[in-house]
Amino acid sequence: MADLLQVVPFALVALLAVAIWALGLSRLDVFTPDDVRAWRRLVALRGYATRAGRMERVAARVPLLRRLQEELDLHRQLAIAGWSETPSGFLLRAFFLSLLSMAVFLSLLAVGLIVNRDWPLPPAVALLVAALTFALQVSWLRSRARARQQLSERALGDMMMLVAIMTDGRGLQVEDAVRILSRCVDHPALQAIVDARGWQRLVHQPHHTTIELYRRIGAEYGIPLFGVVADAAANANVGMSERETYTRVARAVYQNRLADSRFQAARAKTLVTVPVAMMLIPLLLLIGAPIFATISGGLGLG
Amino acid sequence: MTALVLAAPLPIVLVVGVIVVLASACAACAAILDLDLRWRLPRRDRRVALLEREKDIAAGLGWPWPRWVALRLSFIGLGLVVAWLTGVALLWVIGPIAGAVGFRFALAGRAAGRRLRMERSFLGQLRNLRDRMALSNQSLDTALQELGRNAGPDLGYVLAPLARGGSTLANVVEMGVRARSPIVEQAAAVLIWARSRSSDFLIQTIDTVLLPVGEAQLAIQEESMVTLAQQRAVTFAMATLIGAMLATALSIDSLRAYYQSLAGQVVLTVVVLLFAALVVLLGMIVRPQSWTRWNLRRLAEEQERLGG
Repeated sequence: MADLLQVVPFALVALLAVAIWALGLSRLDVFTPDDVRAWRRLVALRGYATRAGRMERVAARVPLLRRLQEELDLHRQLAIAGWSETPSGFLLRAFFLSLLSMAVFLSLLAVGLIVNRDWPLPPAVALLVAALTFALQVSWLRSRARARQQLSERALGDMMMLVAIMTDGRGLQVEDAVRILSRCVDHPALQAIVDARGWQRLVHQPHHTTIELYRRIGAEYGIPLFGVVADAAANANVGMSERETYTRVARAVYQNRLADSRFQAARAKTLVTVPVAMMLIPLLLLIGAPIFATISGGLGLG
Repeated sequence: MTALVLAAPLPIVLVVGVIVVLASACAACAAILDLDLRWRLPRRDRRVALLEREKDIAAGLGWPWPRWVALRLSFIGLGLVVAWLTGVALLWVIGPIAGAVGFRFALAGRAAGRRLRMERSFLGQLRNLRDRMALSNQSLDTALQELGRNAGPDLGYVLAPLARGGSTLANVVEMGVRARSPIVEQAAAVLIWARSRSSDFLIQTIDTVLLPVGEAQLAIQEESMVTLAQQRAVTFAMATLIGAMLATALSIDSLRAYYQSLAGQVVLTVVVLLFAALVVLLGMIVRPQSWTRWNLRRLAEEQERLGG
């Protein structure tokens, strides 16, 4: 009983820590429903934006957190990845999951401690696990952002042929054509940028024309093809045929892809030798293992 | 818990207690805050994407969907039969997986090759369409119907909707959906947007947009096909070699006895994992170009919304 009483302060401290954590998360609106976010966005667009929460303002002022957000380029990465969290929210969620993984790992170590009367691994390894979990989440975000960039660029390139028809044959503006087509692609990556003013998340500077807007989107979202489309739109504005201009962009896109494919095929011819050579390992293992077991058994080693 | 407290010394109880409290509190917080720790892509989308890839291969082979599903199930069953015949416990796991994955992998190349042939024929039919409109003065609807009736063996199933009259827009959409090919889908999308313009506009569009861009797309597909063929040839050779070695080993009593033992099962697991890892590595080195897929029904709706 006395032993159990000694545990109580630790348990209370742990509970208090978790309660503070939960309070922080809720004050930062980390898990606010999408509808509420949409309303807030609307309010911000109308110029009636409310001030950020106290906790969020504090988080923005803490130099360590601010520097971490800047170093990881979180604001941009989150926007490109299409995640609605704020950088502070992402960081807190990442810390939360790191803490959770550390707790799970420590409990596994504790089981080992009970069974063996000794730590199976130094408890400090749990810190490494937490760090790894954090790094994995950041890496996941980056890879997701990269994938969305590629999807958007590919979709934009593939729609150029249709843009040529829609602008020339139906008299649509390039911005409208891209927006309409983005809704008809099988993934929402491009639509999230061009439809419903999604680009406002990263493009804050004022613009007067689609050409300016596309150049800024290309720069901010890291999708160079937007710049190419902007140049094509500029050419179309000074009298070149829209169909010819955008068809030329489409052909250039496919020529680049063909060149990429050829480069990859040529490179693969060399690189493929590595896994081919390594395929011998399972083969040798399959034959060698029973022979080795028989010989070692015969010699009394097994 | 009480037994644990009595049996274990104090530091263990402390560590375990604090951890349990931490973990429970974290779980409670996650539940209260409705924290979604799952993969961000909705589960339904993942399932649909997987199913769509399966349907792509079935369509590439020109097989009806039920036949593809039946054959896949048969090969999974075959894997189980092999496990039963050999008596190696691990094969109860590896057999069905190899049956499911191997069958798909074995036919994916054939499906891609057939699709490429179909796309080549399709570009030929686009030239026919252009000639019918430019030289024979046929309207788009009539020319499409004629194409549907004389589609040829590679395009019979894909162009069949064009032959059946009714709404041209719906028929073109159906053609694109059936083809499950980026080139046909894009051509269908262009026809959807250009069909209500004049014949001259359509002829120009086919001449200056569809055919040159389609040729460029086909060239990329062909290059991807070469790359894919390299990858598949290597994987097939190694899989055949490993399969033959395993079959030989299992036909010898002493070796079969080894692979029925625990040590043998461990070796077999390592071999399978290594092989799978190397196939994945090969796939990462040799990755063909992927394409944007269009939702043609949505595209047709947008076009109609803007006034047909």
